[in-house]
Amino acid sequence: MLAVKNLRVHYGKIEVLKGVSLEVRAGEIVTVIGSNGAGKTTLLRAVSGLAPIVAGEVMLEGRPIHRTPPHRISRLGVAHIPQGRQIVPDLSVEDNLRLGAYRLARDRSKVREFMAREYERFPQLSERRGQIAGSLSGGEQQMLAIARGLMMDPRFVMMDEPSLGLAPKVVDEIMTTLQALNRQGVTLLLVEQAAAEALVLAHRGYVMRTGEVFLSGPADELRRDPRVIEGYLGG
Amino acid sequence: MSPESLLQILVGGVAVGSIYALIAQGFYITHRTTLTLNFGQGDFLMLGAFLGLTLVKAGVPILFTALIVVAVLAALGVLLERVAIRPVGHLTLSWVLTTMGFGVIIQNVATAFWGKSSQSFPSLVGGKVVDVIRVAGVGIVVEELFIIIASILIMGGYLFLLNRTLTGKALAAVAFSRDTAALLGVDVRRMAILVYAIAAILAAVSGILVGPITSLHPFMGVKFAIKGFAAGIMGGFMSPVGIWVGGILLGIIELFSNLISSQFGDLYPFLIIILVLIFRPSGLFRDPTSR
Amino acid sequence: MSPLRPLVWIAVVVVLYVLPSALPTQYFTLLLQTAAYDTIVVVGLNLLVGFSGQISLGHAGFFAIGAYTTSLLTTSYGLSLWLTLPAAGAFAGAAGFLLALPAIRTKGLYLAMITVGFGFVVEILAQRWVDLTGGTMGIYAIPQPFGPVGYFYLVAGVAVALQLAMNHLTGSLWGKTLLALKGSEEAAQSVGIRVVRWKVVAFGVSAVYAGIGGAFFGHQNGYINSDSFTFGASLYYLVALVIGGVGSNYGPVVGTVFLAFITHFSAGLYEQRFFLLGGFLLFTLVFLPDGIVGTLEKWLKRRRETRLAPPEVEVDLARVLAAPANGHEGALLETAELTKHYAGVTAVERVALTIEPGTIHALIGPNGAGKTTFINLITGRIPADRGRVFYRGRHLDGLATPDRARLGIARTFQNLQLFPDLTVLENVLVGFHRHGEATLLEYALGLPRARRETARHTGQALALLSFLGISELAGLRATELAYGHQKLCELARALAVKPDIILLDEPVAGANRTEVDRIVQILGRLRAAGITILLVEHNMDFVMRISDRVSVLNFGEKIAEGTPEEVRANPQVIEAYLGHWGAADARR
Repeated sequence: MLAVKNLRVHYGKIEVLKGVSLEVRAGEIVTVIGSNGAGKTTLLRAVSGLAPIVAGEVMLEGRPIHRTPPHRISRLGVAHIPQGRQIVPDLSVEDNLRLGAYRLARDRSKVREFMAREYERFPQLSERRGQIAGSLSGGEQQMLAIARGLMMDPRFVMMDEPSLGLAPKVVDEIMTTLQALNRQGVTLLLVEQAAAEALVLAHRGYVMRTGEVFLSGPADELRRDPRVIEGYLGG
Repeated sequence: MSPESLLQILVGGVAVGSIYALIAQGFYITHRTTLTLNFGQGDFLMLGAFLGLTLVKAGVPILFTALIVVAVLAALGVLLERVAIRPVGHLTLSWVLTTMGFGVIIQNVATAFWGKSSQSFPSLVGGKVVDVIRVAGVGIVVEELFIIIASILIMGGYLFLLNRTLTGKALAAVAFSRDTAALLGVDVRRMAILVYAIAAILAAVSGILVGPITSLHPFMGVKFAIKGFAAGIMGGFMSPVGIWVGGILLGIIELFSNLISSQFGDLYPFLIIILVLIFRPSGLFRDPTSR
Repeated sequence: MSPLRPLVWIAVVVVLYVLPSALPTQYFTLLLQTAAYDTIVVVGLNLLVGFSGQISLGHAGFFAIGAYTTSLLTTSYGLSLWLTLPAAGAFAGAAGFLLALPAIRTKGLYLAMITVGFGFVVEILAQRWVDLTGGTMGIYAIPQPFGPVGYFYLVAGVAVALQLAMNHLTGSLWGKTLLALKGSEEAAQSVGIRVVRWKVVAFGVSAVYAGIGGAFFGHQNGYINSDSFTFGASLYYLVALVIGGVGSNYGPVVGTVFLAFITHFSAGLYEQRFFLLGGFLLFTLVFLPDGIVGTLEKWLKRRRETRLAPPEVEVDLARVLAAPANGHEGALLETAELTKHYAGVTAVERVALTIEPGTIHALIGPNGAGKTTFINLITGRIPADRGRVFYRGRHLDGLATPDRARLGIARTFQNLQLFPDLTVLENVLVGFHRHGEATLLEYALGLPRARRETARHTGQALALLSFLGISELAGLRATELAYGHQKLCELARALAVKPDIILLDEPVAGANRTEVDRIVQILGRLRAAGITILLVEHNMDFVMRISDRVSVLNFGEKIAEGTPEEVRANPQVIEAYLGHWGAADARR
């Protein structure tokens, strides 16, 4: 589904990604873990066209997308759910969802269909559809961000640190939702700091450290690998 | 002062204040979305007024005049964004000077076409500008009433656009975070062009509306722009409705201060700007990063 | 100073002397006079815009105040020109100070608006306060001394003198300090620069210049009225500055002369002339943002290599840094119950931290744990909701950032806040700010104490750069350096404060192995010299290698503290970062 080859990204003078390669096959859940500053968020932003790529390639189902502007990426069946939720706080829950289907605006019936589907998936959102998004709790906002991302019926979803700032129970819920999503056929690329949760959910994982891939392999193996802790807390 | 004159002054204040509010809305919508605004907004207004004058004098019906003027100025707004905003960005204050430069050019195109002396605009509602109708025994200037009604309609349309259309919501998303909006499929660059077109349209309409109650000359723009800004400041620049209220307040204050002191009346709006800006220095537009 | 310089100035004086006789009619002499006093105004405006990074769209107001002051004092009170000219400058300067004091705290666009408002207020007062100003009828019979040519010599002479003074100011450490706060207010504050004061002073000086220019305008034609002090006039000065080159010493005079030419030669195109003005402004801003002089200077500088030979300096670090704090008993820096909330989110919750002198203390924690907020609370960038910060046993409540810096708390920034307009050496020089005692006047006149201080600090700055291994880069613009070297430059600047404690915000972010090793070495030497270090970092190898003590934050709370080994093995820490690591999970 997604193939990243030797990606280099610079922010000003700093080389944030120093030649990262990874791949995500259709139907998989792949997780990218590592401590802060490792470059995980930058990786997702580069795939979405928000970070300037200096070298390397990003291929989506064989087609190069590393030159595609961000507002076109969502049309290709890719949803990027950014770090920190990033829901528009002054708009209502329903309006935020509608924005998720921005590119589908003309097809009113489809939008209604997808919205109904998301309300079914997330009943807490359905209860609060008229509420101002800024007043939702952290967990609810995360659900909203996911629902918004799913409004375009994407085949490939990239999630950036969904557990950030959330209580363990809520994180549990989110992971369950993601798993269900995957069972329905959606491919997932999950960037996480909380390695434990992510490796339970994922099929395969990559561990990043200061802009490079440090370890990779099946999630089960990584869970048993003490070098992962080294990647976070030094050796 | 008799209640009759009080009412007349209020109406006059609300009318001119509505104009200030419309100018301020133009500032608001561009600044909120792009962190820049058109310092020559007043010159756009002036151009709208002069163009409108020419067309009306040539016998074009008022509605068509309005449409033509709006179209011309919208195109100019798009040009402004391309030439004076996009190349310089919002990180420095260069856009203040580039938009001002653009405004100066407009001033002089106007001078070339229409000369430097003041001109007067015929009434938009037929008859004479100072025609009065009797409402509950009080004489109200029809022109001013027309301005108020027209502005309410325009504000209605503007609010509808912002709050009830998908485009308006997309603008809210861009104001919140350009990156997130882009991820949702919003073409941020097009939105920038759109808001500048809208601001230009607002200037065009205010120009036509204000024509009859002011004297037209090519350098009238700056004072309108300043007062528009003052209107926004008074309303707090955080919501279109707040700005609307601020504009009306400013208009009323202006007329009253001219009444109290015709010598220094003009001073007060500027003193207000200075004082309010000093005492509310934490910024007038809501900072999208503060949550 | 190159031997050419005095010769150039002599040539300038000669040209100015000869110029009036070379011109056909008196009309040109008048033009020259106008160009001369306009230059004075724009030189002052340049200080404000180009050096302190502020903006004024209402400078015609100060110009007006100067003009009216001298006109009224000479006509109504019969005072001599020699008294009223300085008085005009003084009054305008006072107005500048009075306006700036409250206004300076506003930012960018809003300050611009305040100046516009000010300009209009002055214009309206000039128009309507007829008793004082004569309104549109104006003031008559203002003395016009020395005849046209003589007057030109007077104005030009003062202009040359004021330009020289400005050159002196801007070339000195005083000027560099202004450029520093223009480049990064935050960083300026972090080395102890009281930014508000400096901005107000710059505003005031700029107004003085405008006032003097206005005074000369007053005596030029023997008559003034309120028509000359419009918004358009304020805009004119800005355009002249932009076209000439903002921030360059001779931009103002070039821009003013250029505009004077345009105004003259387009007198025929009467209406279209302003078209040219607007067009030039737009064109310059978009294509030549450095103006005529600025672009020329950039072009010429590209050819000059400015690498200094590394000096033979004995790096006695302890002497340079005035080995601090070792005599201090107890903790150097301590926080108690430090708390900060943001709209429903707790960023820092009752954090108690104790930092012992002469140690390297690291603060770590997952994303969003509150580390940066904590640093900002210590430096005073944000106020705490609860709790206190104690430094050397005294609390820091109410102290603004520059004042905390002046007590000996220095810092570096995660996102690098070097002063972009200054060289590496100058960046470090500005860092010595709190150790300087010379005043504005001393710098303007080049008096001995100013020069001695600058020389002494330059030596110490080079020593610091030498210690960090980048002394051969001293003459380069800070922004031209490679990333790793920029970080070292910022560290040198922080060391210039001669701090007791340095707060390092991600000192090795984006650094490669070699650079990390270097920093480890440097920090070790700093510790040996007695400097205390608090660092925030994500690079755990680095943290574990260098720290004496590590504190861990999560969700704003301190969850662990101890030696690096203790922290690394602490299950709560592992959980904070990685989650329930090692726990068998039944979800699958």
